[in-house]
Amino acid sequence: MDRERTKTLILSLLVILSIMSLHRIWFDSPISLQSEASNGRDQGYTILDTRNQIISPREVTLGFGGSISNNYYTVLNYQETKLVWEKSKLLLLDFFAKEPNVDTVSLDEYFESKQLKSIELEFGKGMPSVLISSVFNTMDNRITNEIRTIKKILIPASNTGSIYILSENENNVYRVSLSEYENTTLEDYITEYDEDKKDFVRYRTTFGFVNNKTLMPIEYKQLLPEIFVESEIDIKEEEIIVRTAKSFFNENFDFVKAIRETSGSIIYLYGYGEKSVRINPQGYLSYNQEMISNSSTNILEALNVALNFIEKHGGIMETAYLSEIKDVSTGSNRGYYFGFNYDIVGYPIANKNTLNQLEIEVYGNDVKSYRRFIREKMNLGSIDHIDTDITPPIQIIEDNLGVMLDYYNKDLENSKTMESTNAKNEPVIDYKIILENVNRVEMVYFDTVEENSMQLIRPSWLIRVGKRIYYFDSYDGKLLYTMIEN
Amino acid sequence: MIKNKLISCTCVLIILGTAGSFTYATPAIRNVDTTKYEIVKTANQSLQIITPEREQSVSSSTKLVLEFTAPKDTKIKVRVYHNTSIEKGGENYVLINDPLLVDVGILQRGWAEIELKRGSNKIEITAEYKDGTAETVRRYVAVKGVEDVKRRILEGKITSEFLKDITGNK
Repeated sequence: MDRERTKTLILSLLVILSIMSLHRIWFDSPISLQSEASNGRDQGYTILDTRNQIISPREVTLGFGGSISNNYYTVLNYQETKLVWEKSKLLLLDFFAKEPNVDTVSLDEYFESKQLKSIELEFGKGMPSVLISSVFNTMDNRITNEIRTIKKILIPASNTGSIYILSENENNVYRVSLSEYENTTLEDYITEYDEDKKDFVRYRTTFGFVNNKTLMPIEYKQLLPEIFVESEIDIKEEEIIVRTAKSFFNENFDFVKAIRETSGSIIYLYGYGEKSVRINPQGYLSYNQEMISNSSTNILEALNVALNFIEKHGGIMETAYLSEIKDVSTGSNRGYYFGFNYDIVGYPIANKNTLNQLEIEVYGNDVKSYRRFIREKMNLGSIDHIDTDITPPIQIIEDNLGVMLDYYNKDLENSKTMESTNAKNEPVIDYKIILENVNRVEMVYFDTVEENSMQLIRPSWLIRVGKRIYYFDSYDGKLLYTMIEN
Repeated sequence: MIKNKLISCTCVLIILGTAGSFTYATPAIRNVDTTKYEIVKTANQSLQIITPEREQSVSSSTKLVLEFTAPKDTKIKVRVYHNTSIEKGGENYVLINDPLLVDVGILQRGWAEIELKRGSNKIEITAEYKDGTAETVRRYVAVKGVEDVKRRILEGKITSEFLKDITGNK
């Protein structure tokens, strides 16, 4: 009898266990997730959410005011940037949704306001005002009518009805003002930040003595580790590679030729190269479609097409932001290029291949090209430099003035050759020209892209002089890479 | 036996799992190419303090930037003292930081971010020139809270000098 009871008990336990397992499958099944995502209405919401996520500032600078000689700022990391953007949106909504006055003002007025307590939001290159406006559910307003692109928005903290917008292409500055308006929520945030976080990195207009207003820190006491990353695509995992490639060709995959290059790259070709997918050993994926018959006229629709395509082919990174937008054309067809970058451990990732880690060209409903190279942080811990401070950028610039002046003269010579100018000037020998032309100093994680996995990436200084970008190892100050920005 | 093996394996796994972070230090290597180019306009041949420009000034912040020019290869030492005297007008300056060292390079200009204390601070900047001679310049900075400034306004003790001090205007 006891034996029978034990059997029944074991059987009952097995039944319960199988029910629990089935329950888990029902809840976590990718099939159910897929069917959910394919639901048009849900997808609409997903795209809207993703769009609002990626239309956000690439960099936020807090200005703390202070005396003219002791004015300081700080550049926020990813988490803080998101927080300030959410707070700023509440204020900006009034300026986009109401009927403000838009006046052209001087760049001096912009910098005078920046010297007071302020928040500066910097957006991706070529950001159209309509895209920022779409975040506030308004497309036709005074700002979009008067200003085509928005590079920066400056919000004076003691906001008494004015914000400033710096436009990229026109290089114009606008004051956008609302009458009888006051909002000081951001002022409280700045004051609290200054009081609570005493050890933040202070950025200053250090090269003010050559009339350069670029912000850079005099010292950088923050501890930033080196981290290990891996590519999201591992070329050794054939099954995943095939599945990834298949998603681009769908039912035509049976007619696709696969070629493995001696370099280790795999190419999938459809027809006579009408469509191709190439994945290199580092995990860099590029997709191209030759035949384009559509054109885009509405940038918001083009962005939706791009985000839909990305969603189906790898998805968008959690910390991604729109870093570049430009018009493109093929024959008589017109389209849009969207470049995305993302932050890793709070700072933008950079490598020598491109400034944007995810790129897509959209023509109507067609995607002409799609390139993605995504690195993920590995759970291998990190390397902390507890005995070494990060070298301040001023020191790096001073130590590399000779190199920078060499490149400056070389670039000057090349631009003359391109313009077919025969006039030969003597090379510039005064370092001052470099100090005057430094226009960006930013902390990034630079990826040398040598390994698919276990790649160590280091916190690095991006220093831009004119159009030339330099990446320096922030610990030993060595030049890692230099390139001209297009 | 099996039990022992299991325990050992678990220990090794735990150690591997928790050993997430390790450290090492990299020596700073700097390449300076100073042969081909130059600063066409040379700085003054002695130490010049750019900020704070005035010998005595008032600040509302405990963080202060010292900016100076000096000839190349000058060694700058910055010491900060705080007046701990409780008597009105009394002076008892006590060193509050490890001396900051700055080697002046090709820019012939240097910066140092220094931490001050509420009250009177004395900043002593010593320049040791390449030829072995030395020079010391002092700056006095009074750090006052915003409340102090408000009180002075309420008491009507605002002079044009005071306003220049707190705004940094010359």
